[in-house]
Amino acid sequence: MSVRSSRCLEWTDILAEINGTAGDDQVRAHLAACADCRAELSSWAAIASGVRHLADGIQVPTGANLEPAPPLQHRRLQAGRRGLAAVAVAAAVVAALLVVLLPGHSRLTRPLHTAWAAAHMLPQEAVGTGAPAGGWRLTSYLVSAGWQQSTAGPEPGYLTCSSARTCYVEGDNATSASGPADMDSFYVTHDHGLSWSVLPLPTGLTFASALSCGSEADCAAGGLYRGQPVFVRTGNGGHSWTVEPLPAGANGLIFQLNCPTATMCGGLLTTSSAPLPVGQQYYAGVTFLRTTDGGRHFATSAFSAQESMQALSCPTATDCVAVGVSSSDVGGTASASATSFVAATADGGATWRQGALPHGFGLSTFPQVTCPDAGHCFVLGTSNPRTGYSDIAMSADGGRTWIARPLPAALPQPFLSQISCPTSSTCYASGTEAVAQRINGSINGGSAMILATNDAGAHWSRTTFPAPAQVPTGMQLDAFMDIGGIQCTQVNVCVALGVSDQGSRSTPVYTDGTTP
Amino acid sequence: MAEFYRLHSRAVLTHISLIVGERALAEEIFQDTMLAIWRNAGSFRGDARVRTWVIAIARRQARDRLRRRQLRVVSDTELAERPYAGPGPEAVAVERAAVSEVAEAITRLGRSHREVLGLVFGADLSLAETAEVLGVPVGTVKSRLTAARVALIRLMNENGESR
Repeated sequence: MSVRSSRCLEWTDILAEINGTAGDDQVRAHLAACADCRAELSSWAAIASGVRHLADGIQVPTGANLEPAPPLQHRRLQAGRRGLAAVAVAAAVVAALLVVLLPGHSRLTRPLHTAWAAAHMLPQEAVGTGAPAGGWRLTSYLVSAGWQQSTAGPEPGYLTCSSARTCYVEGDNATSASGPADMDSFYVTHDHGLSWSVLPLPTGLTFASALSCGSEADCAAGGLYRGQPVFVRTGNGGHSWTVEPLPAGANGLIFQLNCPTATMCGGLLTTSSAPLPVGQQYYAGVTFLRTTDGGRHFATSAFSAQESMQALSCPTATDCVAVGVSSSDVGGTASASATSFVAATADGGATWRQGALPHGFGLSTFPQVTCPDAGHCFVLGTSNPRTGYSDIAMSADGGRTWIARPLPAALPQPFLSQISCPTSSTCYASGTEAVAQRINGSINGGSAMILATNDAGAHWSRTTFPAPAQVPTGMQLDAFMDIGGIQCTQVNVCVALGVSDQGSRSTPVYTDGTTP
Repeated sequence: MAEFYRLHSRAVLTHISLIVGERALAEEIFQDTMLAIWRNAGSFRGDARVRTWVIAIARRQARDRLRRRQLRVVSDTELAERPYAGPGPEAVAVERAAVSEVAEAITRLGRSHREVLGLVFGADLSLAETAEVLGVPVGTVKSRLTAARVALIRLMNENGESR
């Protein structure tokens, strides 16, 4: 007979839940029905957080000055000399169990850990779904009712999918539709967008970048904690969080983050300590920032002085591509006419090599680059600064050279918001096109649209979504005009979010394919 | 070496600190441990995870040092089997206490309890790996974890720290 921690759960289940590796639906169902089990799990999570809190108070050297390990057969011969070196390093260790922030200390000086918290299932809107469009369909609505904070509605923020089943949304609760953003809510789905839950965030935290996940449950983002720029991470899919203050050498706001592994993240750091104000489009004073230990330590490196990078993609721990504008264009709003730059690194940001975007190609309103592997990258932009209609450029040599991948000429006025490429040849782009549609007796000016390519952008297919006959109460009519975020973890496995103004109480969720 | 240090130094020092509960002594043992690791690098057989091997060395160093200092080492069995007379675990909501309070309470647990919590939740060892380090069956690891939780709840309850 197996030993249980109590009358409820197997130890393997407890550890899997705490470490964010759980995938057993039966256990989830059991937890949902058993209050005692949830309480016990929460207590174990609190204990685990306590132990990790102690561990994070330990100061150890980074090892950066240590010599590489010799081949195994040489270690015995060199053990004495290296042993002395190790002792010398160890002697420099300042180790202490410093475990608490000073009471009332307003500025975060040590990592802040939150206790494990359960997700709260949100109610589902049953109306208006169905009507598949190809493999796509309007699957569900991300709703605000039942949410833990008082809000007029979940204007969708950044969508991040860490697996075929699991996606996260940073909810934007700005007080006005024109911003600035205030992403202080957090949603999760574990069934490919069919149902959604809300998870609490540390009080005082607002995200400043999209979440990026190195594994299904290991995710991180830039943020502000009570106005202080921080690095925030979770190792269990958002059930608990660690808020790391940034070191003095990395002073500023992380507004872009890309984590190809659970511990390595590359990011863009601006000297500003606040999100972009209304009317300003580009961040200034941007440097590259990198951590290889989950945010405990950071290294920074500068781009060329003339470049102000705005978007980043790191497909591996050492390869990153950044796109941006001329530093002299920062503060402007006419992105299509701004001079665009691209740079790539293959050594973790130690050195950057400038690439060449297609002639006349400008970045899109919200610059974005995505690299499914170290060789292939795609960037959203426009070749027509007068209209600003979207185009896509592609690189097959790690960002050095780029070619335009124009969209079909017959496409009516495309404006793309995001591109997601699960492979080097398959990409999906979301946005809107200027085809009016009638919703509840009113005419909307555009239609939600998704483009797909299976040949690296040589050809594109298009899916548009008819507005459903019935929409949730209180929903704004323009919720079906545009798709803001799209994430595809595999070919034909995608989740996308509609765009709705602040005040809508529901956001459309679209999926491609059946639930994996 | 840099990568080794990055991967394991925090876990090693945390583990030692949890065992000995004394900062200066933990630092000394950490130094001894790093030296022992270099001296014994060739003996790593590759049949265990590196972290398991490293922490086993740290544990031996800590025990040796504690013996030399003639500190009282409560037997694992004594701690794990000590009867519990307080209210049931459900009476105290550890999960609602501040993380720092839970952490502080953990430092006041018995060595055996601190150690098993540190191995499983601090060093992220599996139950089997923890059993290997401690030299006990997996079932004992499980019962020791349960006992550690009960002891922690009792400690927090006695000190009125639970919320």
